[in-house]
Amino acid sequence: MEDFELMNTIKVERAKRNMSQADLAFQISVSRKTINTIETGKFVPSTIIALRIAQVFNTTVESIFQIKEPL
Amino acid sequence: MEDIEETQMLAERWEGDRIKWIKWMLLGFMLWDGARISEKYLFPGQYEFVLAPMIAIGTIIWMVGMLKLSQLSKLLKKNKQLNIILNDEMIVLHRLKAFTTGFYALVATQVLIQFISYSHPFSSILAADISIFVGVVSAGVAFIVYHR
Repeated sequence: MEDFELMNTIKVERAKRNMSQADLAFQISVSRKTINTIETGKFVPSTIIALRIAQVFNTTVESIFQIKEPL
Repeated sequence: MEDIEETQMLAERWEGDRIKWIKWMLLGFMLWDGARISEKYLFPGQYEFVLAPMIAIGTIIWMVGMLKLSQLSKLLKKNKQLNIILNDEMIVLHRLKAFTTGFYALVATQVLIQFISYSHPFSSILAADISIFVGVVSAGVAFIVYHR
């Protein structure tokens, strides 16, 4: 499990909607730091947070989060 | 929009304050307990002119830190949304990891003390004092490091 990396498109989705990290953080009730660590892949969010992020962007979790397969 | 920015700004300010007071509290605890352990076991009756002020200063810093943290926690209880933001899952995870680090540091200290006690007599109170010191300091430092 350690070899897998969780990629995400949060930054892209935010840019499309002209949304700041603070806006997204506010909408899902987490700190901006948490959004930043999720975005940079340092923190793997729970299913609830992942679902809430997808809900804000009106899309599916799979389109936001992808697992990068090990080489 | 202003509300979002205001809430996030307040959250970041309070988060900064929380870390700041945890650092001060930890420093106070280290000064107070470190000097107390040294005065009681390492240099009994010696260096009192240095150790006694260290104990006093440490106690004051520790108490101020505790007071500020409890004030912050009271403020958070009044603001439900900020309370949720400042206790989100990442912070809860860091807290859990810090407690785990503290626990393992405490167990390692106990094992070390047990080994030392085979060759050098070790009082049980000193063992407890050292274990508490190591446990609290390592948990506190671990939280600060994880939450950088």
